[in-house]
Amino acid sequence: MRSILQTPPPHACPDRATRISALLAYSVAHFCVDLACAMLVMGLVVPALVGTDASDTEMVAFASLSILLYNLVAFAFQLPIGMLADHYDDNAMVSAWGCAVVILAYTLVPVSPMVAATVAGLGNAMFHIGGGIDVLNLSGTRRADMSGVFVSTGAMGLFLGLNWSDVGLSLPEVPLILLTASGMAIVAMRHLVRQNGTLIANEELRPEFSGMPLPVVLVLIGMSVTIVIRSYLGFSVAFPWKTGVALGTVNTLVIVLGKMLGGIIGDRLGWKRTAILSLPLASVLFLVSYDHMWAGLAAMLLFNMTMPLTLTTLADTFRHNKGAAFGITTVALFVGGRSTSIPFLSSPVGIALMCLVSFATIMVGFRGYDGVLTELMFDGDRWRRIGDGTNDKVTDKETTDRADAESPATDHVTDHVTDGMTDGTTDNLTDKMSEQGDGQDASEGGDGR
Amino acid sequence: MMESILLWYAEGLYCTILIECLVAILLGMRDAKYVARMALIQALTNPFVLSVVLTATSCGMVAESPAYWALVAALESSVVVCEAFLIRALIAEGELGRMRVSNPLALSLTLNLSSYLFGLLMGAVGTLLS
Repeated sequence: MRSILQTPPPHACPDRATRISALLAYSVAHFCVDLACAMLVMGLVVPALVGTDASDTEMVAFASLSILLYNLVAFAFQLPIGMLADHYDDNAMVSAWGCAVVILAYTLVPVSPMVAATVAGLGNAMFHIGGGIDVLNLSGTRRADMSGVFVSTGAMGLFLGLNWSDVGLSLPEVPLILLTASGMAIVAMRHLVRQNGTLIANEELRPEFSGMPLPVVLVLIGMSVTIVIRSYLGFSVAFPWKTGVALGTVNTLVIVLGKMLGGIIGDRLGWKRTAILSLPLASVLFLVSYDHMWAGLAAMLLFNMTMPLTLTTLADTFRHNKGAAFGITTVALFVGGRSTSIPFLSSPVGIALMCLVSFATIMVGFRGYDGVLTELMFDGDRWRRIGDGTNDKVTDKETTDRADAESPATDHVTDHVTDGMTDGTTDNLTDKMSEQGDGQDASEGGDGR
Repeated sequence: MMESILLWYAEGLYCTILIECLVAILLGMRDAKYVARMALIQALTNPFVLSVVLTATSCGMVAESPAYWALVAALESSVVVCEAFLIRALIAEGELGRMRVSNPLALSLTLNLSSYLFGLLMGAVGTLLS
């Protein structure tokens, strides 16, 4: 008994300082990993395949295929990797291995650029899943601020990675040094957390995806469609004033800020209110965004604010399968990024309309989330409705969590809104390929995750 | 040019992983999970050393000069310390306790010395063959 009292329980929650340190480590590493991956694909893989002869259509096709493979693995593979990570339950190790796998990808470029791109995608996916689950675990339920900070830094890393030659970064030293530092920082963070007698652990794995009732389906569909739209718009928006690296950097900074503020403001104001204030206003601003830079920047800031909310909503709904929930957001990102571009939807009016559609879908998702919090319980085997007489098996933890959700401390349940983490700001590199040189659009979608 | 640099990285990284994991196994590390973690540690430290050396030479430092060797010595020392920390962080003390070298710092020094000597040996063999 004495030793039990003296030894902190393995699942003790890390203190505030540790949580902030971990968030800092993951956020900086996110910047580094996305920068390194973008530099590898655009600075090594594509030049190795295309060389100096851009008229060689066969090689250009190979380069495009490499980028597609990278995006496919980096985004779509996060779902299966997330499911595995939910089982493995050592997210820091998954994340550190992600950094190492990207390092290995660099050494594969001379052997096969296409394989190198695919392996880099795998490393990128591993890092995001490991870091993403840990940050979601650290932030707890119904909190979007930490996930917003984590996902925002990738946008800047991606932008700088795509414009690496313009900003004076040297290959391959800079990305390799950043990757090694990131991996070591994550390992150090994991060690320090455990040394404090705490653990950033996953919740017990349960089959939440089977037998889903309507509110859960609404969350899944509403948030997924919102992310698809955001991702699609991230590539469709082509502001005429956004020329040169300087303005591209400003635009990316605004996106980063929007993602960060989305989580922070959402937690204070309520998620639903944040969506109500941001998306319709963004829609109006998009109408004049092609003519006025300030309007475009403000629209991008507001448009990206719901991003951490969608992620956190999905992660909260499927709290016992956060890796899978994270993977769903990135699959949606991939779908949005790969969708065929429709000219009308690239116009200011089209973008504004899509923004309103995404507002409608996110509200559908929030409606479902309200239902999840107030009408449903997951008892370990399947979802059950509260008060239907079959809740006797509901665990104490679920009951506590639900009471927690209804307490004023976590703000009104009905105000919670989600928006996926990755949100429209995708890092898809495919489109970048066609506009290599101006290099700003990728940051638009930002990195998403 | 870039291809040869990346091949240089690949050669250094894979040889180091191979040698140091092999030596760790010979020293008594039997658990595959910990051997894999040793490989992770190598993958996280080796490119750092090579990148710093590459940056220094591209900035004008003459290879094989006293300053170059001082830099290499400083880097190798820092890697030994870093690896010792990583070994301690990633591998349970109990696992190290069953090895012939049970101190993380001593283990790190042993592993790095073995891979460095292997590198020297391979260099000498290469010189002889050419």
